[in-house]
Amino acid sequence: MAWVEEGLNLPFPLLRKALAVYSLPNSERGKITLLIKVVGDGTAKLAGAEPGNTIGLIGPLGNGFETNLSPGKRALIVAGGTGIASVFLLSENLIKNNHPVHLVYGARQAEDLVGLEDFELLGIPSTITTDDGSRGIQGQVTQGLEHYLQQNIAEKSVIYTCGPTPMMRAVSRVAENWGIPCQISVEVKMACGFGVCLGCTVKTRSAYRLACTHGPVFDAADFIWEKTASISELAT
Amino acid sequence: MSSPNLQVEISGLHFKNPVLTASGTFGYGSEFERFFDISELGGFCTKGLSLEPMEGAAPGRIQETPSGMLNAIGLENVGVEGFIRDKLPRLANFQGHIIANVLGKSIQEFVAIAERLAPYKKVSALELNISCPNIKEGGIEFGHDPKMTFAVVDAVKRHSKHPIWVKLSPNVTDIRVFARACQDAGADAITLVNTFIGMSIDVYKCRPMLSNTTGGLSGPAIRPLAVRLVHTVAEAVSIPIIGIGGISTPRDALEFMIAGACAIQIGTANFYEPTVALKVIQGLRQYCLDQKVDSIQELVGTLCIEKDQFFY
Repeated sequence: MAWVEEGLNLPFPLLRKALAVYSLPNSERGKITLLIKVVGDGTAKLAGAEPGNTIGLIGPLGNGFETNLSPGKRALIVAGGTGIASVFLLSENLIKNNHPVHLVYGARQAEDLVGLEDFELLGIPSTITTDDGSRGIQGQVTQGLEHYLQQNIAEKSVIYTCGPTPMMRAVSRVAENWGIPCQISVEVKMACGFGVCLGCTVKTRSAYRLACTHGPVFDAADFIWEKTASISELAT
Repeated sequence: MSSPNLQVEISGLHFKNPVLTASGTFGYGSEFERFFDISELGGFCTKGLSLEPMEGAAPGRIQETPSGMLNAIGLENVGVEGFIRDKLPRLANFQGHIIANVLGKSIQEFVAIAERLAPYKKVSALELNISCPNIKEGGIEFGHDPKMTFAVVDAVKRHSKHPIWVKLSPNVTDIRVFARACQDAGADAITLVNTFIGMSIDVYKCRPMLSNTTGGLSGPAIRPLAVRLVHTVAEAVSIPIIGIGGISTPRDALEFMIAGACAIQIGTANFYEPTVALKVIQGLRQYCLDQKVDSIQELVGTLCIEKDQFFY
Protein backbone atom coordinates (compact mmCIF):
# COMPACT_ATOMS: atom_id res chain seq x y z
CA MET A 1 0.00 0.00 0.00
CA ALA A 2 1.61 3.25 -1.12
CA TRP A 3 1.17 7.01 -1.02
CA VAL A 4 3.24 10.17 -1.07
CA GLU A 5 4.05 11.33 2.47
CA GLU A 6 3.02 14.95 2.68
CA GLY A 7 2.76 15.35 6.44
CA LEU A 8 -0.82 16.51 6.05
CA ASN A 9 -3.41 15.93 8.71
CA LEU A 10 -5.89 15.26 5.98
CA PRO A 11 -4.38 13.25 3.18
CA PHE A 12 -5.76 13.52 -0.31
CA PRO A 13 -6.72 11.04 -1.58
CA LEU A 14 -7.54 9.50 1.76
CA LEU A 15 -6.48 5.94 1.09
CA ARG A 16 -3.16 4.45 0.04
CA LYS A 17 -3.05 2.66 -3.30
CA ALA A 18 -2.40 -1.07 -3.54
CA LEU A 19 0.58 -1.59 -5.85
CA ALA A 20 2.77 -4.46 -6.92
CA VAL A 21 6.51 -4.15 -6.39
CA TYR A 22 8.05 -4.18 -9.86
CA SER A 23 11.60 -4.90 -8.81
CA LEU A 24 13.70 -5.03 -5.65
CA PRO A 25 17.21 -3.76 -4.97
CA ASN A 26 20.00 -6.07 -6.07
CA SER A 27 23.66 -5.80 -7.02
CA GLU A 28 22.83 -3.66 -10.07
CA ARG A 29 19.84 -1.71 -8.81
CA GLY A 30 19.83 0.19 -5.54
CA LYS A 31 16.14 0.74 -5.19
CA ILE A 32 12.61 -0.58 -5.12
CA THR A 33 10.81 0.11 -8.38
CA LEU A 34 7.07 0.69 -8.61
CA LEU A 35 5.55 0.74 -12.07
CA ILE A 36 2.45 2.91 -11.98
CA LYS A 37 -0.18 3.78 -14.53
CA VAL A 38 -1.89 7.07 -13.73
CA VAL A 39 -5.60 6.35 -13.42
CA GLY A 40 -6.69 8.77 -10.70
CA ASP A 41 -5.54 11.26 -8.09
CA GLY A 42 -3.56 8.80 -5.98
CA THR A 43 -1.56 7.31 -8.83
CA ALA A 44 -1.04 10.80 -10.31
CA LYS A 45 0.52 11.95 -7.05
CA LEU A 46 2.73 8.88 -6.85
CA ALA A 47 3.82 9.26 -10.45
CA GLY A 48 4.48 12.96 -9.87
CA ALA A 49 6.68 12.42 -6.82
CA GLU A 50 10.07 14.06 -7.18
CA PRO A 51 13.49 13.28 -5.73
CA GLY A 52 13.35 14.22 -2.07
CA ASN A 53 9.69 13.29 -1.66
CA THR A 54 8.94 10.38 0.63
CA ILE A 55 6.79 7.52 -0.56
CA GLY A 56 5.15 5.85 2.42
CA LEU A 57 4.84 2.10 2.03
CA ILE A 58 3.14 -0.62 4.03
CA GLY A 59 4.31 -4.02 2.88
CA PRO A 60 5.06 -6.46 1.54
CA LEU A 61 1.50 -7.66 1.96
CA GLY A 62 -0.34 -10.81 0.95
CA ASN A 63 0.94 -13.91 -0.76
CA GLY A 64 2.83 -14.06 -4.02
CA PHE A 65 2.93 -16.30 -7.05
CA GLU A 66 3.84 -19.86 -6.12
CA THR A 67 7.26 -20.37 -7.72
CA ASN A 68 8.22 -23.59 -6.00
CA LEU A 69 7.86 -25.66 -9.18
CA SER A 70 9.27 -29.11 -9.79
CA PRO A 71 12.47 -29.07 -11.88
CA GLY A 72 11.96 -28.70 -15.61
CA LYS A 73 8.60 -26.98 -15.33
CA ARG A 74 8.10 -24.21 -17.87
CA ALA A 75 6.56 -20.88 -16.95
CA LEU A 76 4.22 -19.02 -19.26
CA ILE A 77 3.73 -15.49 -18.03
CA VAL A 78 0.69 -13.76 -19.47
CA ALA A 79 0.47 -10.04 -18.77
CA GLY A 80 -2.19 -7.61 -19.90
CA GLY A 81 -1.50 -3.87 -19.76
CA THR A 82 -0.46 -2.78 -16.29
CA GLY A 83 -0.39 -6.43 -15.21
CA ILE A 84 3.23 -6.38 -16.38
CA ALA A 85 4.07 -4.58 -13.11
CA SER A 86 3.27 -7.71 -11.11
CA VAL A 87 5.30 -10.26 -13.07
CA PHE A 88 8.86 -8.95 -13.37
CA LEU A 89 9.96 -10.08 -9.89
CA LEU A 90 8.24 -13.38 -10.61
CA SER A 91 10.21 -13.73 -13.83
CA GLU A 92 13.50 -13.04 -12.06
CA ASN A 93 12.73 -15.71 -9.46
CA LEU A 94 11.79 -18.28 -12.05
CA ILE A 95 14.92 -17.61 -14.11
CA LYS A 96 17.02 -17.86 -10.94
CA ASN A 97 15.50 -21.30 -10.33
CA ASN A 98 16.37 -22.37 -13.89
CA HIS A 99 12.82 -22.60 -15.19
CA PRO A 100 12.33 -21.69 -18.86
CA VAL A 101 10.15 -18.57 -19.02
CA HIS A 102 8.11 -17.23 -21.92
CA LEU A 103 6.27 -13.92 -21.76
CA VAL A 104 2.98 -13.27 -23.54
CA TYR A 105 2.30 -9.57 -23.23
CA GLY A 106 -0.68 -7.70 -24.59
CA ALA A 107 -1.58 -4.02 -24.62
CA ARG A 108 -3.83 -1.65 -26.52
CA GLN A 109 -1.00 -0.27 -28.62
CA ALA A 110 2.77 -0.49 -28.99
CA GLU A 111 3.49 2.54 -26.81
CA ASP A 112 1.63 0.94 -23.89
CA LEU A 113 4.10 -1.94 -23.80
CA VAL A 114 6.26 -1.00 -20.83
CA GLY A 115 9.23 -2.84 -19.40
CA LEU A 116 9.77 -5.24 -22.30
CA GLU A 117 13.48 -4.43 -22.32
CA ASP A 118 13.78 -5.60 -18.71
CA PHE A 119 12.45 -9.00 -19.69
CA GLU A 120 14.74 -9.06 -22.73
CA LEU A 121 17.72 -8.42 -20.45
CA LEU A 122 16.74 -11.55 -18.53
CA GLY A 123 16.78 -13.40 -21.85
CA ILE A 124 13.05 -14.05 -21.75
CA PRO A 125 11.49 -14.57 -25.19
CA SER A 126 8.12 -12.96 -25.72
CA THR A 127 4.96 -13.05 -27.77
CA ILE A 128 3.46 -9.60 -28.15
CA THR A 129 -0.10 -8.65 -28.99
CA THR A 130 -1.67 -5.23 -29.47
CA ASP A 131 -5.31 -4.41 -30.02
CA ASP A 132 -4.45 -2.12 -32.93
CA GLY A 133 -1.71 -4.28 -34.42
CA SER A 134 0.94 -1.59 -33.94
CA ARG A 135 3.25 -4.30 -32.63
CA GLY A 136 3.19 -8.08 -32.65
CA ILE A 137 0.02 -10.03 -33.28
CA GLN A 138 -3.10 -7.91 -33.73
CA GLY A 139 -5.65 -9.02 -31.20
CA GLN A 140 -6.00 -9.87 -27.58
CA VAL A 141 -3.44 -11.44 -25.32
CA THR A 142 -5.34 -14.73 -25.32
CA GLN A 143 -4.72 -14.97 -29.07
CA GLY A 144 -1.02 -14.57 -28.38
CA LEU A 145 -1.27 -17.28 -25.76
CA GLU A 146 -3.13 -19.66 -28.09
CA HIS A 147 -0.61 -18.92 -30.81
CA TYR A 148 2.27 -19.80 -28.50
CA LEU A 149 0.61 -22.94 -27.18
CA GLN A 150 -0.11 -24.24 -30.69
CA GLN A 151 3.55 -23.97 -31.64
CA ASN A 152 5.12 -25.15 -28.40
CA ILE A 153 4.82 -27.90 -25.86
CA ALA A 154 2.05 -27.10 -23.43
CA GLU A 155 2.72 -29.95 -21.08
CA LYS A 156 4.84 -29.33 -18.01
CA SER A 157 3.82 -25.66 -18.20
CA VAL A 158 2.42 -23.35 -15.58
CA ILE A 159 0.60 -20.14 -16.47
CA TYR A 160 0.97 -17.01 -14.36
CA THR A 161 -1.28 -14.13 -15.28
CA CYS A 162 -1.97 -10.58 -14.22
CA GLY A 163 -4.06 -7.94 -15.96
CA PRO A 164 -7.61 -6.65 -16.20
CA THR A 165 -10.22 -9.00 -14.76
CA PRO A 166 -11.89 -9.88 -18.11
CA MET A 167 -8.47 -10.64 -19.60
CA MET A 168 -7.44 -12.92 -16.71
CA ARG A 169 -10.77 -14.65 -16.94
CA ALA A 170 -10.15 -15.31 -20.65
CA VAL A 171 -6.61 -16.51 -19.93
CA SER A 172 -7.81 -18.90 -17.26
CA ARG A 173 -10.33 -20.30 -19.74
CA VAL A 174 -7.51 -20.98 -22.22
CA ALA A 175 -5.48 -22.56 -19.42
CA GLU A 176 -8.39 -24.81 -18.52
CA ASN A 177 -8.89 -25.87 -22.16
CA TRP A 178 -5.24 -26.82 -22.45
CA GLY A 179 -5.16 -28.46 -19.02
CA ILE A 180 -2.49 -26.10 -17.72
CA PRO A 181 -2.47 -24.94 -14.09
CA CYS A 182 -2.98 -21.18 -13.84
CA GLN A 183 -2.28 -18.66 -11.12
CA ILE A 184 -3.98 -15.27 -11.26
CA SER A 185 -3.06 -12.07 -9.41
CA VAL A 186 -6.17 -9.99 -8.82
CA GLU A 187 -6.59 -6.27 -8.28
CA VAL A 188 -9.45 -5.26 -6.00
CA LYS A 189 -10.19 -2.01 -4.20
CA MET A 190 -8.97 -2.09 -0.63
CA ALA A 191 -8.73 0.43 2.18
CA CYS A 192 -6.07 -1.11 4.44
CA GLY A 193 -4.19 -3.92 2.70
CA PHE A 194 -3.68 -5.96 5.86
CA GLY A 195 -6.93 -7.75 6.45
CA VAL A 196 -9.04 -5.50 8.64
CA CYS A 197 -11.28 -3.39 6.40
CA LEU A 198 -12.59 -6.57 4.72
CA GLY A 199 -13.29 -4.47 1.63
CA CYS A 200 -11.31 -6.47 -0.93
CA THR A 201 -13.25 -9.68 -0.80
CA VAL A 202 -13.31 -12.04 -3.77
CA LYS A 203 -15.28 -15.23 -4.24
CA THR A 204 -13.57 -18.59 -4.45
CA ARG A 205 -15.13 -22.06 -4.60
CA SER A 206 -14.56 -22.53 -0.89
CA ALA A 207 -15.46 -19.09 0.48
CA TYR A 208 -15.05 -15.36 0.28
CA ARG A 209 -11.35 -14.56 0.45
CA LEU A 210 -9.49 -11.30 0.96
CA ALA A 211 -7.34 -10.16 -1.95
CA CYS A 212 -4.98 -8.44 0.50
CA THR A 213 -4.10 -11.30 2.84
CA HIS A 214 -5.26 -14.56 1.24
CA GLY A 215 -4.30 -13.21 -2.19
CA PRO A 216 -3.70 -11.37 -4.39
CA VAL A 217 -2.65 -14.62 -6.07
CA PHE A 218 -5.30 -17.30 -6.42
CA ASP A 219 -5.57 -20.59 -8.27
CA ALA A 220 -7.68 -19.84 -11.35
CA ALA A 221 -9.51 -23.16 -10.97
CA ASP A 222 -10.68 -22.08 -7.53
CA PHE A 223 -11.81 -18.60 -8.51
CA ILE A 224 -15.39 -17.48 -9.20
CA TRP A 225 -15.23 -14.67 -11.75
CA GLU A 226 -18.90 -13.72 -11.83
CA LYS A 227 -18.61 -12.12 -8.42
CA THR A 228 -15.51 -10.12 -9.14
CA ALA A 229 -15.68 -6.50 -10.13
CA SER A 230 -12.44 -5.28 -11.65
CA ILE A 231 -10.83 -2.03 -10.60
CA SER A 232 -11.45 -0.49 -13.99
CA GLU A 233 -15.16 -1.19 -13.71
CA LEU A 234 -15.27 0.52 -10.35
CA ALA A 235 -12.81 3.35 -10.94
CA THR A 236 -13.85 6.82 -9.91
CA MET B 1 5.43 19.93 35.22
CA SER B 2 4.63 16.30 35.80
CA SER B 3 3.19 14.22 33.00
CA PRO B 4 -0.51 15.01 32.50
CA ASN B 5 -3.06 12.44 33.53
CA LEU B 6 -4.77 10.95 30.49
CA GLN B 7 -6.83 8.47 32.49
CA VAL B 8 -10.58 8.34 32.13
CA GLU B 9 -13.35 6.35 33.80
CA ILE B 10 -16.23 4.99 31.75
CA SER B 11 -18.91 2.57 32.91
CA GLY B 12 -16.84 1.62 35.94
CA LEU B 13 -13.82 0.86 33.78
CA HIS B 14 -10.50 2.57 34.17
CA PHE B 15 -8.81 3.54 30.88
CA LYS B 16 -5.17 4.64 30.83
CA ASN B 17 -6.05 7.09 28.07
CA PRO B 18 -9.24 8.03 26.22
CA VAL B 19 -8.14 6.63 22.86
CA LEU B 20 -9.81 3.49 21.58
CA THR B 21 -10.00 2.04 18.11
CA ALA B 22 -13.33 1.43 16.47
CA SER B 23 -15.17 -1.74 15.59
CA GLY B 24 -14.67 -2.86 12.02
CA THR B 25 -11.43 -0.95 11.62
CA PHE B 26 -9.16 -2.87 13.97
CA GLY B 27 -9.92 -6.51 13.20
CA TYR B 28 -9.64 -8.57 16.35
CA GLY B 29 -6.70 -6.55 17.65
CA SER B 30 -3.72 -8.74 16.90
CA GLU B 31 -3.71 -7.66 13.23
CA PHE B 32 -2.13 -4.38 14.41
CA GLU B 33 0.61 -5.90 16.55
CA ARG B 34 2.97 -5.70 13.58
CA PHE B 35 2.58 -1.91 13.57
CA PHE B 36 2.73 -0.94 17.24
CA ASP B 37 2.30 -2.12 20.82
CA ILE B 38 -1.48 -2.17 20.96
CA SER B 39 -1.34 -2.19 24.76
CA GLU B 40 -0.65 1.56 24.45
CA LEU B 41 -4.34 1.96 23.60
CA GLY B 42 -6.99 2.71 26.16
CA GLY B 43 -8.80 -0.14 24.46
CA PHE B 44 -10.22 -1.37 21.21
CA CYS B 45 -13.56 -2.55 19.89
CA THR B 46 -13.68 -5.87 18.09
CA LYS B 47 -15.18 -6.40 14.68
CA GLY B 48 -18.92 -6.85 15.24
CA LEU B 49 -19.62 -10.37 16.51
CA SER B 50 -22.75 -12.28 15.59
CA LEU B 51 -24.04 -15.54 17.02
CA GLU B 52 -23.01 -17.46 13.89
CA PRO B 53 -20.15 -16.49 11.55
CA MET B 54 -21.25 -14.22 8.69
CA GLU B 55 -19.69 -14.15 5.24
CA GLY B 56 -20.68 -10.55 4.58
CA ALA B 57 -21.81 -8.69 1.47
CA ALA B 58 -20.90 -9.52 -2.11
CA PRO B 59 -17.64 -8.13 -3.52
CA GLY B 60 -17.68 -4.44 -4.43
CA ARG B 61 -17.65 -3.46 -0.78
CA ILE B 62 -15.81 -0.15 -0.61
CA GLN B 63 -15.57 3.12 -2.47
CA GLU B 64 -13.39 6.08 -1.65
CA THR B 65 -15.19 9.44 -1.58
CA PRO B 66 -13.93 12.97 -0.82
CA SER B 67 -12.24 12.76 2.60
CA GLY B 68 -14.03 9.55 3.32
CA MET B 69 -15.08 6.13 2.21
CA LEU B 70 -18.26 4.19 1.78
CA ASN B 71 -18.35 0.62 2.98
CA ALA B 72 -20.83 -2.18 2.73
CA ILE B 73 -18.96 -5.04 4.34
CA GLY B 74 -22.15 -6.62 5.59
CA LEU B 75 -20.79 -7.58 9.00
CA GLU B 76 -18.44 -10.32 7.86
CA ASN B 77 -17.16 -11.81 11.11
CA VAL B 78 -15.95 -15.03 12.70
CA GLY B 79 -18.92 -15.30 15.05
CA VAL B 80 -18.83 -15.24 18.81
CA GLU B 81 -17.53 -18.82 19.10
CA GLY B 82 -14.76 -18.15 16.61
CA PHE B 83 -13.81 -15.06 18.55
CA ILE B 84 -13.65 -16.94 21.85
CA ARG B 85 -11.78 -19.89 20.32
CA ASP B 86 -9.35 -18.21 17.90
CA LYS B 87 -9.05 -14.50 18.64
CA LEU B 88 -9.40 -13.95 22.38
CA PRO B 89 -6.47 -16.25 23.35
CA ARG B 90 -4.14 -14.11 21.19
CA LEU B 91 -5.00 -11.11 23.35
CA ALA B 92 -3.91 -12.69 26.64
CA ASN B 93 -1.16 -10.10 27.08
CA PHE B 94 -3.17 -7.10 25.92
CA GLN B 95 -3.11 -4.42 28.61
CA GLY B 96 -6.03 -2.24 27.48
CA HIS B 97 -9.74 -2.89 27.51
CA ILE B 98 -11.35 -5.18 24.96
CA ILE B 99 -14.81 -3.98 24.03
CA ALA B 100 -16.73 -6.72 22.24
CA ASN B 101 -18.95 -5.18 19.57
CA VAL B 102 -21.94 -7.48 19.21
CA LEU B 103 -24.96 -7.66 16.93
CA GLY B 104 -28.00 -9.83 16.59
CA LYS B 105 -30.96 -10.32 14.29
CA SER B 106 -33.24 -10.53 17.32
CA ILE B 107 -33.26 -9.62 20.99
CA GLN B 108 -32.73 -13.31 21.73
CA GLU B 109 -29.57 -13.31 19.64
CA PHE B 110 -28.20 -10.23 21.38
CA VAL B 111 -28.88 -11.89 24.74
CA ALA B 112 -27.36 -15.20 23.63
CA ILE B 113 -24.13 -13.50 22.55
CA ALA B 114 -23.98 -11.51 25.78
CA GLU B 115 -24.43 -14.68 27.82
CA ARG B 116 -21.79 -16.49 25.78
CA LEU B 117 -19.28 -13.72 26.50
CA ALA B 118 -20.26 -13.38 30.15
CA PRO B 119 -17.58 -15.74 31.57
CA TYR B 120 -14.73 -13.94 29.80
CA LYS B 121 -13.15 -11.36 32.07
CA LYS B 122 -10.73 -10.37 29.32
CA VAL B 123 -13.73 -8.72 27.64
CA SER B 124 -14.34 -5.50 29.56
CA ALA B 125 -17.63 -4.36 28.07
CA LEU B 126 -20.07 -5.05 25.27
CA GLU B 127 -20.86 -2.50 22.62
CA LEU B 128 -24.27 -3.24 21.11
CA ASN B 129 -24.26 -2.54 17.40
CA ILE B 130 -27.81 -1.47 16.69
CA SER B 131 -26.75 0.77 13.86
CA CYS B 132 -25.15 -1.13 11.00
CA PRO B 133 -26.66 0.23 7.79
CA ASN B 134 -25.56 -2.69 5.64
CA ILE B 135 -27.66 -5.69 6.53
CA LYS B 136 -31.28 -6.35 5.70
CA GLU B 137 -32.50 -7.74 8.98
CA GLY B 138 -31.56 -6.94 12.55
CA GLY B 139 -29.06 -4.36 13.61
CA ILE B 140 -30.54 -1.23 12.19
CA GLU B 141 -34.16 -1.87 13.18
CA PHE B 142 -33.07 -1.75 16.80
CA GLY B 143 -31.41 1.58 16.06
CA HIS B 144 -34.29 3.19 14.20
CA ASP B 145 -37.17 2.53 16.57
CA PRO B 146 -36.69 3.87 20.11
CA LYS B 147 -38.99 1.21 21.57
CA MET B 148 -36.81 -1.48 20.02
CA THR B 149 -33.71 0.31 21.26
CA PHE B 150 -35.08 0.25 24.78
CA ALA B 151 -36.13 -3.38 24.50
CA VAL B 152 -32.78 -4.70 23.31
CA VAL B 153 -30.72 -2.71 25.80
CA ASP B 154 -33.06 -3.66 28.63
CA ALA B 155 -32.88 -7.36 27.73
CA VAL B 156 -29.11 -7.43 27.41
CA LYS B 157 -28.69 -5.49 30.66
CA ARG B 158 -30.77 -8.08 32.47
CA HIS B 159 -28.69 -10.98 31.17
CA SER B 160 -25.18 -9.58 31.22
CA LYS B 161 -22.78 -8.56 33.96
CA HIS B 162 -20.64 -6.66 31.48
CA PRO B 163 -21.03 -2.90 31.19
CA ILE B 164 -23.21 -2.22 28.14
CA TRP B 165 -22.32 0.43 25.62
CA VAL B 166 -24.70 1.14 22.76
CA LYS B 167 -23.48 2.35 19.37
CA LEU B 168 -26.12 4.57 17.83
CA SER B 169 -27.05 5.30 14.25
CA PRO B 170 -26.86 8.91 13.06
CA ASN B 171 -29.45 8.17 10.38
CA VAL B 172 -32.41 9.21 12.53
CA THR B 173 -34.45 12.38 12.91
CA ASP B 174 -33.62 13.08 16.55
CA ILE B 175 -30.82 11.02 18.01
CA ARG B 176 -31.58 12.28 21.53
CA VAL B 177 -34.69 10.09 21.63
CA PHE B 178 -32.52 7.02 21.11
CA ALA B 179 -29.89 8.16 23.57
CA ARG B 180 -32.57 8.62 26.23
CA ALA B 181 -34.02 5.19 25.43
CA CYS B 182 -30.57 3.71 26.06
CA GLN B 183 -30.19 5.59 29.30
CA ASP B 184 -33.67 4.62 30.49
CA ALA B 185 -32.93 0.97 29.73
CA GLY B 186 -29.82 1.11 31.88
CA ALA B 187 -27.08 1.45 29.25
CA ASP B 188 -23.71 2.29 30.81
CA ALA B 189 -22.45 4.38 27.91
CA ILE B 190 -23.28 5.44 24.36
CA THR B 191 -20.99 5.34 21.36
CA LEU B 192 -21.70 8.16 18.92
CA VAL B 193 -21.85 7.60 15.97
CA ASN B 194 -21.91 4.80 13.45
CA THR B 195 -21.62 5.56 9.73
CA PHE B 196 -23.93 7.80 7.73
CA ILE B 197 -25.78 6.04 4.91
CA GLY B 198 -24.44 7.17 1.58
CA MET B 199 -24.21 6.22 -2.06
CA SER B 200 -21.89 6.60 -5.00
CA ILE B 201 -22.70 5.99 -8.66
CA ASP B 202 -20.69 4.92 -11.69
CA VAL B 203 -21.91 7.52 -14.17
CA TYR B 204 -20.78 5.54 -17.22
CA LYS B 205 -22.60 2.36 -16.28
CA CYS B 206 -25.39 4.06 -14.35
CA ARG B 207 -24.83 1.54 -11.59
CA PRO B 208 -24.08 1.93 -7.90
CA MET B 209 -20.39 1.64 -6.99
CA LEU B 210 -21.21 -0.72 -4.12
CA SER B 211 -22.72 -4.14 -4.64
CA ASN B 212 -25.10 -3.32 -1.78
CA THR B 213 -26.18 -0.07 -3.57
CA THR B 214 -25.73 1.98 -0.40
CA GLY B 215 -23.04 1.93 2.26
CA GLY B 216 -21.88 3.62 5.42
CA LEU B 217 -19.87 6.82 5.03
CA SER B 218 -16.92 7.21 7.37
CA GLY B 219 -13.70 9.21 7.55
CA PRO B 220 -12.88 12.90 8.06
CA ALA B 221 -15.85 13.89 5.88
CA ILE B 222 -18.29 13.01 8.69
CA ARG B 223 -16.40 14.55 11.60
CA PRO B 224 -18.37 17.82 11.91
CA LEU B 225 -21.64 15.87 11.69
CA ALA B 226 -20.50 13.55 14.47
CA VAL B 227 -19.18 16.32 16.71
CA ARG B 228 -22.51 18.07 16.49
CA LEU B 229 -24.38 14.87 17.40
CA VAL B 230 -22.11 14.30 20.42
CA HIS B 231 -22.80 17.84 21.54
CA THR B 232 -26.55 17.38 21.09
CA VAL B 233 -26.66 14.10 23.00
CA ALA B 234 -24.36 15.36 25.76
CA GLU B 235 -27.04 17.94 26.56
CA ALA B 236 -29.72 15.25 26.68
CA VAL B 237 -28.30 12.38 28.75
CA SER B 238 -26.03 11.93 31.74
CA ILE B 239 -24.41 8.60 30.84
CA PRO B 240 -20.93 8.76 29.30
CA ILE B 241 -20.48 9.26 25.58
CA ILE B 242 -17.70 7.75 23.51
CA GLY B 243 -17.20 9.96 20.47
CA ILE B 244 -16.38 8.63 17.02
CA GLY B 245 -16.49 9.98 13.50
CA GLY B 246 -13.57 10.86 11.27
CA ILE B 247 -10.98 11.28 14.02
CA SER B 248 -7.41 11.19 12.75
CA THR B 249 -5.57 13.84 14.77
CA PRO B 250 -5.29 14.90 18.43
CA ARG B 251 -7.19 18.05 17.53
CA ASP B 252 -10.08 15.99 16.18
CA ALA B 253 -10.17 13.94 19.39
CA LEU B 254 -10.19 17.11 21.49
CA GLU B 255 -13.19 18.48 19.59
CA PHE B 256 -15.20 15.42 20.58
CA MET B 257 -14.09 15.59 24.20
CA ILE B 258 -14.85 19.29 24.52
CA ALA B 259 -18.24 18.60 22.94
CA GLY B 260 -18.92 16.08 25.69
CA ALA B 261 -17.28 12.74 24.90
CA CYS B 262 -15.42 11.03 27.76
CA ALA B 263 -13.35 9.02 25.31
CA ILE B 264 -12.99 8.65 21.58
CA GLN B 265 -12.65 5.95 18.98
CA ILE B 266 -10.52 6.09 15.86
CA GLY B 267 -11.93 4.27 12.87
CA THR B 268 -11.18 4.78 9.19
CA ALA B 269 -7.79 6.42 9.86
CA ASN B 270 -6.49 3.03 11.09
CA PHE B 271 -6.74 1.86 7.49
CA TYR B 272 -4.43 4.44 5.97
CA GLU B 273 -2.25 5.21 9.00
CA PRO B 274 -2.12 2.10 11.20
CA THR B 275 -0.21 3.88 13.99
CA VAL B 276 -2.56 6.88 14.06
CA ALA B 277 -3.88 6.03 17.55
CA LEU B 278 -0.38 6.37 19.03
CA LYS B 279 0.00 9.79 17.43
CA VAL B 280 -3.34 10.88 18.85
CA ILE B 281 -2.36 9.70 22.35
CA GLN B 282 0.96 11.55 22.13
CA GLY B 283 -0.77 14.65 20.82
CA LEU B 284 -3.31 14.65 23.64
CA ARG B 285 -0.49 14.43 26.15
CA GLN B 286 1.27 17.36 24.48
CA TYR B 287 -1.92 19.43 24.41
CA CYS B 288 -2.44 18.87 28.14
CA LEU B 289 1.17 19.86 28.81
CA ASP B 290 0.96 22.98 26.65
CA GLN B 291 -2.45 24.04 27.97
CA LYS B 292 -1.58 23.14 31.57
CA VAL B 293 -4.38 20.60 31.84
CA ASP B 294 -3.59 18.26 34.75
CA SER B 295 -6.15 15.63 33.89
CA ILE B 296 -7.77 15.19 30.51
CA GLN B 297 -11.08 14.41 32.20
CA GLU B 298 -11.31 18.10 33.03
CA LEU B 299 -11.82 18.85 29.35
CA VAL B 300 -14.91 16.74 28.87
CA GLY B 301 -17.93 18.88 28.01
CA THR B 302 -16.13 22.20 28.52
CA LEU B 303 -17.65 23.72 25.41
CA CYS B 304 -18.56 27.38 26.03
CA ILE B 305 -21.69 28.56 24.30
CA GLU B 306 -23.37 31.87 24.84
CA LYS B 307 -26.98 31.17 25.70
CA ASP B 308 -28.40 32.63 22.51
CA GLN B 309 -25.87 30.95 20.25
CA PHE B 310 -27.38 27.51 20.13
CA PHE B 311 -30.33 26.74 17.95
CA TYR B 312 -31.22 23.11 17.53
